[in-house]
Amino acid sequence: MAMNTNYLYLLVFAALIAETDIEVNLSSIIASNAYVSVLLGIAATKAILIAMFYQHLKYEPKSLSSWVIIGLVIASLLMGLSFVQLHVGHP
Amino acid sequence: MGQRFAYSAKRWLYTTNHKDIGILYIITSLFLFAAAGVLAITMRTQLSAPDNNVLTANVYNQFVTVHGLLMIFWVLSPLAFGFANFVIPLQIGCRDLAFPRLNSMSYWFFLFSGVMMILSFFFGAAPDLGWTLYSPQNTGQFSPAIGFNLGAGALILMVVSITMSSINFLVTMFKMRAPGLKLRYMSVFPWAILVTIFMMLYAFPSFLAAVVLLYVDRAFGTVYFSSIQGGSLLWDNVFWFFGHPEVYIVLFPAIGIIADIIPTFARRPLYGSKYVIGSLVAAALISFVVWGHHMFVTGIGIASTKLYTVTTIAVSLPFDVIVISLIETLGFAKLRLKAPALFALGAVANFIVGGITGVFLASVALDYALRGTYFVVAHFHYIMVGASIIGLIGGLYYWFPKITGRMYDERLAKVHFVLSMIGFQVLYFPMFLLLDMPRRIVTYSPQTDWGLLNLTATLGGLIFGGAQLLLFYNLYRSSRVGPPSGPNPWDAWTLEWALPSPPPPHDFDVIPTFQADGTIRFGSGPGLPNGLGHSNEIGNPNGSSVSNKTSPLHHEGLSPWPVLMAFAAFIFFLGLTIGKPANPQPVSYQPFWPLIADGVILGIISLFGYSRETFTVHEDTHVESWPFKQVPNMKLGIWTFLGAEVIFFGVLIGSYFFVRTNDAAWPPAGSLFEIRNGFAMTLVLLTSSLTAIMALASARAGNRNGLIASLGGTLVLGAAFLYIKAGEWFSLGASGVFQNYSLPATSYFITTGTHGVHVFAGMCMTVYLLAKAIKGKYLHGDHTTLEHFGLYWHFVDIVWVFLFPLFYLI
Amino acid sequence: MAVSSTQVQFDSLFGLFTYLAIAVSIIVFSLLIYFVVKYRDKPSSRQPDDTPILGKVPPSRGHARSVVVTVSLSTIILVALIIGSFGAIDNILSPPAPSQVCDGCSVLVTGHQFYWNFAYPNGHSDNLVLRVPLGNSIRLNVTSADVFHDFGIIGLDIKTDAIPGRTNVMWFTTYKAGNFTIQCFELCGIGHATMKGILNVVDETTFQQWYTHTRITCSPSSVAVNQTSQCTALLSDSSPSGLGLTPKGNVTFSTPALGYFNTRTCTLMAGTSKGTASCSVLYTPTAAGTGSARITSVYGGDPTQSDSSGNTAILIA
Repeated sequence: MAMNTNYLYLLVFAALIAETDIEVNLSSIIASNAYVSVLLGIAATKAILIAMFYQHLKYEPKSLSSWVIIGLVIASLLMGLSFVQLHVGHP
Repeated sequence: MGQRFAYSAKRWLYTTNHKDIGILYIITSLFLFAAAGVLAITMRTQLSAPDNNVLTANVYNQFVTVHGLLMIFWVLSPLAFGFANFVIPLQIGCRDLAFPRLNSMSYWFFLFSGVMMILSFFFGAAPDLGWTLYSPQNTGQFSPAIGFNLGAGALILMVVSITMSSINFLVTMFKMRAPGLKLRYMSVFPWAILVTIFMMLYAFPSFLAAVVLLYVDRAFGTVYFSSIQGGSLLWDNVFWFFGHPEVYIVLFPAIGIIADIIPTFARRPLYGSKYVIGSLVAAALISFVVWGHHMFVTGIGIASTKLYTVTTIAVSLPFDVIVISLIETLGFAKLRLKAPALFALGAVANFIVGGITGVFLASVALDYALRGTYFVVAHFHYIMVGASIIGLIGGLYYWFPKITGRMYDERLAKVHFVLSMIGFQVLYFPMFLLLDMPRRIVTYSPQTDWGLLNLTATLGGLIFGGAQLLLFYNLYRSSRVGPPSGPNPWDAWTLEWALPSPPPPHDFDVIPTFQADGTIRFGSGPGLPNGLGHSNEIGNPNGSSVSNKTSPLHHEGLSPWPVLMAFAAFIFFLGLTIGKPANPQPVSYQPFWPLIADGVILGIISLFGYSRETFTVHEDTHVESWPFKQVPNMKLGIWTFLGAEVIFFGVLIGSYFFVRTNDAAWPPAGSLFEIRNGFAMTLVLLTSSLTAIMALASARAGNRNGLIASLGGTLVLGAAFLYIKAGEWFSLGASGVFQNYSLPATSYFITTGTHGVHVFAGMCMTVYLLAKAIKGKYLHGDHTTLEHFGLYWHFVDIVWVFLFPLFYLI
Repeated sequence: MAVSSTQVQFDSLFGLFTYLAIAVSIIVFSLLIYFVVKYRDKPSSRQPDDTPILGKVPPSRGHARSVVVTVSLSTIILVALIIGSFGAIDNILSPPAPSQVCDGCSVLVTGHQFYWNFAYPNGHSDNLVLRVPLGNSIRLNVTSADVFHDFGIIGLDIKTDAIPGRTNVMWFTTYKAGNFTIQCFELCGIGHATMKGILNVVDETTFQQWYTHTRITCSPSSVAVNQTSQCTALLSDSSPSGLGLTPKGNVTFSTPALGYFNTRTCTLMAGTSKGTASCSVLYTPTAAGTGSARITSVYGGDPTQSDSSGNTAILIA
């Protein structure tokens, strides 16, 4: 398992570096609000790669991922609802 | 209790036994209950007549604030967790919490945080803006007293204590249940605690982030809470996002106690127990989307006010189910009205009033009149005192025999009940009628007609407060000379009543087994119905964690490191918050370096001692551990901790998101912070994740050189990250950014700075791991510490993966 | 007797909530007391069959039906409360536009530590009394100059937060004349309990009389450099007692623009209308500057009159 795993780690690493490169060069390609979403999307895929392979979550029981997933949902609630407070239907 | 009085001071300081720690929590919180109660009596005296001058406005404002903070953080939850500590391991059939030394550390952090809060009075002024500490009056400009900083430090220490406790209880309740004890067999008290710790895990990091942001604003001159883009609404959101789940956190344990007491004394099972548990879960979930009802009149959009009205009104539904179920439990019962039952029923009665008046406040339209008035004060005291404290007192009488082995004086307890209930109604009901009177005012004019109702309330307060003296006297005296209670004076069914009163240090000789038909087997024979689960047989065929007959089990273990670690943290935070003002703008406070240095040194010594100490905690494989079977306790603990960190960083990033979307003018990407620095830091940190995982792979393969090289690489890369960051900060400092923070600079420094602290902590861990690796550790199947470090380190990397585009590229 | 539109609406909605609350309380408390009394431990009461005993998990007890009934009944009540609340909040958050209210009925309220400032469209400003006409809709823009306050009017059952950097609109229609206490409802510092004001509701005629005679005017309102304008401070009885008292004392003028007054201070002289007084100074701009000069007059008050200020602008050609 060791050799294959090491190659996998290197592969993930290569993907992470490539994505970072894309992020930095993106500004010249895309403009406007979609840019932020694209960047966050790329960041999310990097995060998922690190979580699944470096933190081994792909091979752990699904219940173990639940801690951070619940955290993400709750944090998104805070950000989402407070955004709505200020920018939707201001009296 | 007798033999515990014989404990030496050293024993109390070093204990890690859940029962001892439970007692420490209970006694400390009762003491602070009395202290905060005295503050309240003084306030009520001041308010008993118009234009009174018993207290000046300055003192009154501090009293009302510290009263609230102490009661909420240093009384309600710790008292509940005192019971949880003592009782939960017994109820789920294990011998201690998953991490006994962490448990001890939780208590000592809690104690020292309380000391710090009280110390704040002596440094200018304690916090004096109400426990809610609104912005921008909480900034250094409007509240310059150093005592305020101490209050913030105390809150931070307290949150650390609670986070450690949540992780400990979560791992324990998921991973250490007796064989056959499925979650659905647990009674409501353990369920209530389980739901509470979930809420704690995910709500408190938001509060921690809020207080950290506030502290940095005050100490370094950043502008999150003094800017208009952040300011009042930013604090409102990050505070109340925590604040609302918090009020359920202080309520649910009491509901759990009530839901265990009533069936016991009614001699019938709880009606609809699975619906009661489901309701607790539902209420906990909904509690995260109602916080906007504290912001109804701040000027948020009408769509939001309607949303929060609906969610807040909806959250009353699970509580309806709970109340009706508790009442229906009494049907065809044989209700013994002893003190625990009286207090439980009294709590239900108060809860009905408190809950109904909560529905009033849930309506945004009514809130436009009722906000900030004594109607609100009445509502929440009906819940927090009327339901929670009264319920917890019921728990105190209920478990007193188990904890001390003696019975309290029943007649005195009944007098205590009657006086408490009467005093309570006289104290708080008039406040509903004072719905024009503003909260937190030191006095009021004789031209209002508020005098009579206030005087009435004060008299009620004196009755209620005086009645508690009966409680203290009863418990103290009975603990010394009360008649022996026996193991099960109430004929209850939960497992703690199967043990002697008080239980022996190791609790169960033999861990009980739950069978599929619901029978509980104690020892190797059939389940004993007469309450004596104490078997002479050692060695459970189901494989419990007893090593041998005479060895002291881990829960006898004494360790000095938790109390020393807590003291070190206390000194450190004291140093951070105690410094005299240097100059008014913008950096308002000088850290007091001698104390900070002492704290760091003592902390390092304690950490070192903690890690070198052999403290074995046996992990049983035959226990119920759904849904975390196959996950070792420590790993589960780490992931639980990371869940909390997601919220902490989520709130920091959310604050940035909040002010940025609230501000039209934000500098373009790359103008303030050089993209290439961020790019370099990203590459460095990503590579360090690679080296970290390679280190683990080398360890697994037994490859010593690979391990040392990878760990060394991780260390170097981490240092490189911090080096680049330091260079960046240095040049920003040279261009005057520190003298006059802008909002972009504020969000950048706070978010990347907190992340940097996490990197630094990771590097300290790497140094430790490297030292061990050089000595040959981790190569022979003992690499779990390495794996756990990796989980943390990759998480820190993931956070940076988001910070990089958010701060450098947009 | 009805005090304001907001009070009427509140009483009605609060009344609905209270009736339902009392009804629900009676039902639930009766149940609780009945069960406690009927099923208490007596020698004659029999031991239940399903008493939980040590050694066995208690049997499951209860029907889902109970939950369904509880939730359904509660939902019906709660939906009624939500509908009532929605109607009311739609009303609260639909203020009339500034052009739809009377001249002088749209006031900027600013919270300070520890007083409220009321600034009218005509430049008049008062730190204690908010005077409004009876039978009119009043629109208030509420904000803060320093910390988080809350502006509430006792008796009118309405309030709104005063947050620095933000403006919240509050409105109500006055139905009753008299004085109402304004107070701060968010702890804002040492002086929180004394941060009060007076809502002074007077009949329309008195209001108009006062409003048109409480201002500073400069004539001509547009001058060339070195051309003089006469600035007159007009004051009208502002005491909440409404007795038509004549303001006495001095008025002090100032401006940040480039120019000079013949004298900074003048002494009020009684006017022809009852309860009015005025005095004048001369202002001469010496440079064009920004194109206008803001002239502020400050009146220190007297035993019956609150202190106030006013401002106006002279255009400089």
